[in-house]
Amino acid sequence: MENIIDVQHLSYRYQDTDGRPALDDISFTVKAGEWLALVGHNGSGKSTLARAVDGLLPFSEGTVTVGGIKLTPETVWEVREKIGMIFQNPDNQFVGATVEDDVAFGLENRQISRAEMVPRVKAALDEVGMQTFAQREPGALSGGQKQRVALAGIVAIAPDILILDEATSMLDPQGRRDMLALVQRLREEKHLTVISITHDIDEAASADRVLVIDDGKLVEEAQPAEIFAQGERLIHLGLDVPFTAKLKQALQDRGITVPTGYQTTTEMEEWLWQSLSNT
Amino acid sequence: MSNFIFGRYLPLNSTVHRLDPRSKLLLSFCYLIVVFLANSWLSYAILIGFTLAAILSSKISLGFFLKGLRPMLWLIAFTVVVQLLFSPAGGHVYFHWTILNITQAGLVNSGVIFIRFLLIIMMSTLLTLSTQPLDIATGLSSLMRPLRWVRIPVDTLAMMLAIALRFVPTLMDEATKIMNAQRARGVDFGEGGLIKQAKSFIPLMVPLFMSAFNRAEDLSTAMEARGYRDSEHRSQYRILTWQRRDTMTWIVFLMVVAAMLATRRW
Ligand SMILES: Nc1ncnc2c1ncn2[C@@H]1O[C@H](COP(=O)(O)OP(=O)(O)O)[C@@H](O)[C@H]1O
Ligand SMILES: [Mg+2]
Repeated sequence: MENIIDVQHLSYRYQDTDGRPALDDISFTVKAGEWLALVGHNGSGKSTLARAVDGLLPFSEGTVTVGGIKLTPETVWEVREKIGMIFQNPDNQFVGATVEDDVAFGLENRQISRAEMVPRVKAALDEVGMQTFAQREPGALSGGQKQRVALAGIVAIAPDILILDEATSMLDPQGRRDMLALVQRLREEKHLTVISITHDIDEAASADRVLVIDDGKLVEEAQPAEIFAQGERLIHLGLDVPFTAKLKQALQDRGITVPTGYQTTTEMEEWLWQSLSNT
Repeated sequence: MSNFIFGRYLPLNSTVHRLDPRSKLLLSFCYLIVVFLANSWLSYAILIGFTLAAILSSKISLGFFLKGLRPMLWLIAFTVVVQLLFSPAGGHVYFHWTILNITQAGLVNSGVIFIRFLLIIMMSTLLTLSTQPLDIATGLSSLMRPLRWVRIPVDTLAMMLAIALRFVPTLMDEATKIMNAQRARGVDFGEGGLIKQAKSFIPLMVPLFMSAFNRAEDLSTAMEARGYRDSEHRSQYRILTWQRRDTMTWIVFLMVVAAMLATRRW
């Protein structure tokens, strides 16, 4: 498969931070259709990286190529056409006065005629299960519903790449699960490439590959299972340690041999049953 | 914060509610001029009749209009009293003391001013009670479209207004949350003298402004990520449609204006 995103030696420094750069010589590629998780503690530069890829930052060192187009001030709109981005705070990305107005925002920016907008808005809302909320104002929606509307806004413009910048971090656990399931479904239906920035272990576990970023540097690249095997270190990497990893650590401390690698809750449950019935 | 009268919309399903906002805005503006053209008692009676008919067909109870009047009460009373005390000479003199005097002409004048105030406030209250703030913004920008020819960025102003309206409830919620948080820390809002009251709002305003600035930054990033360049090169999802009831309303209004003009003193 070809690389849909190619980042080479990307560095960026915010003007008002004189010290270390926010991004320090970052290189990586993303394959078309891949799901990539980006993890790292707060302030490590994840959002900065996502913004650079979407042409929202005027970086001068390094190159970003998206779908074969090299990102420059001239091509930024063309590149942005290929990327849909969802941010952390559901309220601060809701532009429209009502749900349907918000979904239409991206279409309006692309000067799509109203005759074409109406069916596209409707179809996008159907896709995320928000059709009955079309006339609602944002104040009447939960955080999870607002993020769904944001997803509908992206479905409406049909990009190739979806970037989630901690899009689930302000949602409750149920909202997170729903959102994740929705993203997984949309990804399959629309053959999206997904980059998800997250502290959530389940979200990172959905990925094909995990990139770990620390103080602006790419420090690790691995399969989710390899990353989760590192237990204690996860906290330093910026992930919330999953319950199963904590449990294994506690068992190990008591001298019990536990399986290596990452187990889901169900796998761990099974292993526990088996070891209990063996003794 | 619920005693905000400006822009308070009452969602009802009436003909007045369903009128095109451009129709209502333009009509309210013309009405303003018409009120100042009236001068005979009969012409005023015709306008009062029209106003009452408009209020009745909006299905909004008169109580709301009276509530809308309350904040303006002092202004009205002041104007009427000044008009009364500094009456021009004319007709019977009822009262005279140094430079103050109340004459028949003054009495008539202040009556006229009172009626004008009342009519204009009633009509503008009807406009805001029956039209969503966003529709008012959309209608205004649509009506001001021709101003683009003199290089006024109408679409940008309309976008700013729409976003401001969109964030009013969000920031009001936030203000309530901050006030509760600060009360829990022992801040008394709205107590003590004027200076003390003003000071007590600092712990509200500072976090509120900080949050508003953060939101603005987030919002501008999100808008740009969604392909926003400028407000002049965009298509419109929300459109306004002029309907038969708008035409009918204008016919009625023009007939009222004609009747008013026929009965005024020339
Ligand atoms: N707008 C900005 N201006 C200046 N510095 C910033 C800005 N945004 C982020 N930074 C700094 O850049 C670094 C990386 O931030 P960010 O990319 O937001 O991290 P993350 O998303 O991983 O939490 C941090 O040190 C942060 O303080
Ligand atoms: Mg971030």
